[in-house]
Amino acid sequence: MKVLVPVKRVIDYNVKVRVKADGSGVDLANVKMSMNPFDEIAVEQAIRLKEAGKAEEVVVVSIGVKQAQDTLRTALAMGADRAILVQAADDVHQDIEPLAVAKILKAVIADEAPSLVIAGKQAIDNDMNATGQMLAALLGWSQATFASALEVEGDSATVTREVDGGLQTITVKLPAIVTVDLRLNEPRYASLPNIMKAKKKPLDEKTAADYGVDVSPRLEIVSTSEPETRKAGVVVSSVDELIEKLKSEAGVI
Amino acid sequence: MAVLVLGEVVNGALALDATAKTVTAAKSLGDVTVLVMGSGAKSAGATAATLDGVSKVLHADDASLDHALAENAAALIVGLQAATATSVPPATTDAKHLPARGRTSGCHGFVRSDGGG
Repeated sequence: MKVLVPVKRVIDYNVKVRVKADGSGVDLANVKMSMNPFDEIAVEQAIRLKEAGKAEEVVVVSIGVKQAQDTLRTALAMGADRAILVQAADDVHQDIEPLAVAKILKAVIADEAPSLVIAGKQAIDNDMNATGQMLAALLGWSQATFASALEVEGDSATVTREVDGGLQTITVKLPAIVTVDLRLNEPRYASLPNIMKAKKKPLDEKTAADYGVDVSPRLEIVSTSEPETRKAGVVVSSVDELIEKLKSEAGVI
Repeated sequence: MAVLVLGEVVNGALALDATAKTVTAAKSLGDVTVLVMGSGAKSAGATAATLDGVSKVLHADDASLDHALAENAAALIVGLQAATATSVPPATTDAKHLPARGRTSGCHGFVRSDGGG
């Protein structure tokens, strides 16, 4: 069984995000970029399936700018076998929308024929939470989102999903798309020898045009702004004053 | 212009909070139609009809639509989209599981109430 894992290069989760002065987006110039944390969990799960003898090959795919190579090398250092980079943009500020990503992934899947696609449930930069679902729709495959446990047995996968009301366990037929949530596993750190070995692993370079997919945006960003900062409170001197303020200013009693 | 809101049904009852907030958000886009799915969805539909701003409720009563599984439900939504201009699901896990799939199959105008695709 072959497992395909799409990974996205996003702003590092530790970085303090700055909005560009003109409000057109987030400033990504000279900012640390990393693999989307949910995608890291997906890569880890694919590697664990391989280690358990359930999968033969783990292929990682990234769609975006050329620098996404680094993200793919990280996945290779964790233990993936092969990488495919689909260059779809030259500017780091251009976000490739989920539908375009899903279309490119569909074309990649036509070449690679994996039995299972494990993806992160959403990217931490735009929080769309759509690519996996869209890919499942385009392929007509079964889908299991928000996975917190995954068992592959024969031609089906049993997935525990984290839904609002609790946990839901479903069985899906392979081939299937599984998108992973935070509690599925804890991704490993790549060891130095593995980082060195990853440099020699194969990395194919393609472009969006190779797959005939138009990546021009369908959404227009109207504005981007920081959330309002919390206003300072006031110290009241007595209980009476507190009650008075609750009555007159807050209007809660 | 008709707007389709996905009513969130949990164990046969309407999730009132999530659905009501989504209806309020969708009102500004046009006439709101609420869709409820699953076996016994009629009572959930009756609750949805009491919400302010709802002009029509559709209920699809079939066991294949239980548990908010995306594969069957998305096909249903795609069929309905011909009659509606925009679909607005709430930002719940069920609604995130499903409509992105429906939208891709139907390629339609789509707004999730948390702003995602």
